[in-house]
Amino acid sequence: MSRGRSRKRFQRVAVWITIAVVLILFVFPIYWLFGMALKQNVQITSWPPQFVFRPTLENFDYILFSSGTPYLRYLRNSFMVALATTALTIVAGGLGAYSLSRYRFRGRGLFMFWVLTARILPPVAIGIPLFLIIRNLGLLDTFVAVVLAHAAFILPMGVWIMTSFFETIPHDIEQAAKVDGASPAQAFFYITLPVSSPGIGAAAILAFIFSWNEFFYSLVLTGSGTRTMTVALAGFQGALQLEWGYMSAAAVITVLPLFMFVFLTQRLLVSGLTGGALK
Amino acid sequence: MASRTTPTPARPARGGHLTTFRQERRLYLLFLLPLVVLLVGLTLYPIATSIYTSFTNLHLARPNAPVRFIGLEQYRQMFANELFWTTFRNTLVMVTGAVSSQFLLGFGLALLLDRELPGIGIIRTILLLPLMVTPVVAALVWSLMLNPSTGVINYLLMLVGWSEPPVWLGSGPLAMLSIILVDAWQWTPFVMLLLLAGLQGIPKEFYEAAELDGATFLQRVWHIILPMLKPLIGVVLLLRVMDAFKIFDKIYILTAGGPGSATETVAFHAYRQGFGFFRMGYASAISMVLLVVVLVVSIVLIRQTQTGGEHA
Repeated sequence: MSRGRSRKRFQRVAVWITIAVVLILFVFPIYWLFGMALKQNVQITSWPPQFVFRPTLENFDYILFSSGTPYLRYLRNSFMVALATTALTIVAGGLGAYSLSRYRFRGRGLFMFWVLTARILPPVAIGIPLFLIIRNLGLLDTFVAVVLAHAAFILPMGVWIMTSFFETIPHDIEQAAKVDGASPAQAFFYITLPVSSPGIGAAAILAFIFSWNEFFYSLVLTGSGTRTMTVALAGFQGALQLEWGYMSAAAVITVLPLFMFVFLTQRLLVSGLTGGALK
Repeated sequence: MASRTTPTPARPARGGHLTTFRQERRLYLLFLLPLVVLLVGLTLYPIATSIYTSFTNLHLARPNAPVRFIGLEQYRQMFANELFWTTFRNTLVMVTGAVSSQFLLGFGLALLLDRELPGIGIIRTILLLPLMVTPVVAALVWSLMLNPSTGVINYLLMLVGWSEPPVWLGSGPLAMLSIILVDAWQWTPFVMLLLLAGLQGIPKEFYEAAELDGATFLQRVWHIILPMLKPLIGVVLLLRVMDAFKIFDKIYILTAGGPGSATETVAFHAYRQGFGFFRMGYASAISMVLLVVVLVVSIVLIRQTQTGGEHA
């Protein structure tokens, strides 16, 4: 009896130690990034690496407030692209997803498969022809081009999430409204839409995050007028040690809004990430 | 009429019902229209353009040269090129390495966390963080941490007694391992999250029955958990395989395909040919082959998932 209890206790301790080690391993790179952003250059390149140090905000000061800093513009560009991509995904994707959840037309299965494949297409297979098309239209270095390219993979993802969400909403509440004389459009806008806000919210958050984080299409399609934060960050690749502090500060500024999503809207985020996979 | 899924008990007058049905169908078609237009414009039209381009000699650095239709010449060159096959092998190694490592780690973590734990909410929140990190940022941080002369990873390795830790991005196999490691750091939590949700959906009675039979932990995993989670595991693997084919940011930042072409995948190869050397015809041909490979792999995986779902 007591042997069983001590074995249980040993097991509990082992589980907690493992969890602690795992958490440290997964969090360490993030801690290290924030640390580098708060260090002076001498501290960043010092050997041995400094784990405890006196933090400074000078890297952030340089990125955000030095005269003529381009990073505020890059952040604004990223924000505008992400916002427009999200709007497009929610409007076009939401309306389409609603139809897909309610209307059993012939070829619906094929259509859903098309949506799924659109989501898994290799970006380079779409990026090369999209670049050529956009170049021919004279739309390189415009926001329209980047937003459409982002929508190429984010829109299908949003449709997938929202369709599976709309399918969980019973048709009866719409039917009841229609019996009371509402048109199908009224039933959608006044009855279904309000109760669907969690699903739409999840799709919106993910659309924003994926667009904010996107690199390949932005690299290929943006120019000096529309450069997004990810492309600017990639410009630091192979940077001199002198610039590591600035790079880290810019990186922290890029991921901080996303961490806010994790803390404020975790439930929606998880339901979106797992949307369609778990039913 | 036959396509109506839920017959409403209280039906209005016959004529009114028919009008509503017609109105409904018009609304659904109207709602589908923007999505269809966008999907055609953003998938079918580009792919058609790419197929056409792959049959031409389009080269952006030679604007004055006439664009000629050259049939399958680009494909012939590609299949005869040793570098293409190298990138093909690299892609297979990267996809299998990344997916298997994050699947095993994620599954292990899910098993570890599937118990009554105080603070599980906080643990889950913390594990969500790597998932949110911008991939470019993840690659940049890891490139500094893996730096052979100032990086913290080699410092820690020396601390535990490894006198000459490796130059991580300096040799082919290690560079490949580094990219797989960074991708696993970012995506293991996703696998964990999905599988944990699946584990928590398994009714407790199954475990109780197994305990009565004196089943060991491994027997429980093998005979209860794996069969019950099979459909979910299929979905997780499908999602991760598809994403692993897309790895681009991490290669761009960490190795740029090097050293040599040791970490150059088919996707990165197409990017370099198209945007580095401006050989758009050739790059289109490469990306179309990649497209076919990805589609075939995903259709096979989807089939597997679906049949798995029927048995479960």
